[in-house]
Amino acid sequence: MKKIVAILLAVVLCVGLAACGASSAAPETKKIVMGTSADYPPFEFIVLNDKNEQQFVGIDISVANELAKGLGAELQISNMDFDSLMAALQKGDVDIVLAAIEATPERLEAADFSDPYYNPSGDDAAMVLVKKDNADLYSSKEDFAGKSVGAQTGTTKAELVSSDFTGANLVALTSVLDLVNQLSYDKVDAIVLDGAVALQYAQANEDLVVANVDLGAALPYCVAVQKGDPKGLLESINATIAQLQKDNAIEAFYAEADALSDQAIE
Amino acid sequence: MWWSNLFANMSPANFFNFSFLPKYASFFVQGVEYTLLLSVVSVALAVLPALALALMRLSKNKLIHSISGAYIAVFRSTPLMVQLYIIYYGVFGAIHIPSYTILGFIDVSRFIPGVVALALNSSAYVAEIFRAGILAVDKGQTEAARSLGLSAWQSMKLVVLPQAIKNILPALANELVTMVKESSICSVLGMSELIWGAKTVASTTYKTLSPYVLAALVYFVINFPASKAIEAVERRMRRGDKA
Repeated sequence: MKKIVAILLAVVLCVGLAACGASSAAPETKKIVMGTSADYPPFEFIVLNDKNEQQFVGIDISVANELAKGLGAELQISNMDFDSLMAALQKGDVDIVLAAIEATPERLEAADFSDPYYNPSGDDAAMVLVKKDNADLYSSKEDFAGKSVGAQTGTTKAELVSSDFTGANLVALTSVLDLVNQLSYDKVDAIVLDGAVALQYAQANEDLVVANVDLGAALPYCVAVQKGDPKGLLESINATIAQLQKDNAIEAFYAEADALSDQAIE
Repeated sequence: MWWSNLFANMSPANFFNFSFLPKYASFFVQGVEYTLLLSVVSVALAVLPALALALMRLSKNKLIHSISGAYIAVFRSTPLMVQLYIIYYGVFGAIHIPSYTILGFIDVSRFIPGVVALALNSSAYVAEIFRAGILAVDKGQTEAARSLGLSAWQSMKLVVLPQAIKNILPALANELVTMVKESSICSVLGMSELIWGAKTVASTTYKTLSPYVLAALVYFVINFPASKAIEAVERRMRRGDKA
């Protein structure tokens, strides 16, 4: 018995010491922590680099790298579910959030937003993804009356379905993957995603197509910081965004992310 | 047949479309390492508090008895996911752990809150294992020890606990097997364990189901032999028992 207790105590002690050692060894360089939800190619996703290491890539990651450079800080990425992002920002776990976020009035109450860094084009407006066999059934929002329509929890798409899809039943899920699975196995009739994402899934999966339904333009995507900007980040962020816009850097980031996403599927 | 489509149609949403291998195998290897570390450390950390809780639960002092009872009731009757959120955002919102990576992929600022939440939850279950193990030792053993002049604590430590260990160890190992599976809940907070790895591969490759099926296979390959080994040890330990 004594021996067992001693061994257990030793294990506990080792773990405790390891934890203490780890926290005291934290580096001193200035860091900026970005919160994101890396399951959303081409905006943010994870690929393997040449050295077979996991790496965050995508348009938002490229933009965040530039923002960090502008702030003279090292970028660190904190990955979580999309619907946890605002909580993490309010808690102060992350300094900035880039996750293809539109600055809606509801979100403006919880956080402050930068100038837009990404102006959605026609391809980025919300789109409806449906099964190829049923694509003919849908030509307007009204055609979804009595149908189940999926969207990601806490996104503008979920709001869109509940406000504009009269008579449709909203199925709100956390993960885009689960939404696509629901559609693939006929558990919902349609899902609403950001255009860029919907097009990627339609391209990757030949059973799925984008329905010919116009949902109107998306709002521009902005960088979220804590309410009141206590760390004084917005000025530098907006300056960097202005420079990126002037250099047409965002288009280059988009092309890069698209290429990486194509490589990842191969 | 309804199931023939499962194998014939290799669409990205197919259950058995494993074409993301071998390229993305590293996500699963690291995921297994993270999962095992998370569950082993959690259960190990849970053992001592659980022993204390079990002894408190067996105490005749009403206050001590009910403190332990309340702890066990709360942690056994609420969802682990909510406990995880409360520990991660609540407790570790006040205690800030700097982000620091060990073993190349384990971020301690996420790992430690995860371990603490799982250990607190597990200690409630392990306490019940200990209590049952102690109660299963015949009362005559305590009576005999006490009549030989041992104090209550001495008879617990020298007579009852050594016999209780035999009842406790297999159940404790089963708790570890359960924890390997339960720890998958930590994926919702971005801890890069096995289910998180599957989720990430699924979103990067658009193979939306098969990575989860592979993760399930990996869990099975870990847990099934582990359960069999526990059974074997249990049989071996029963050999000394008189029928």
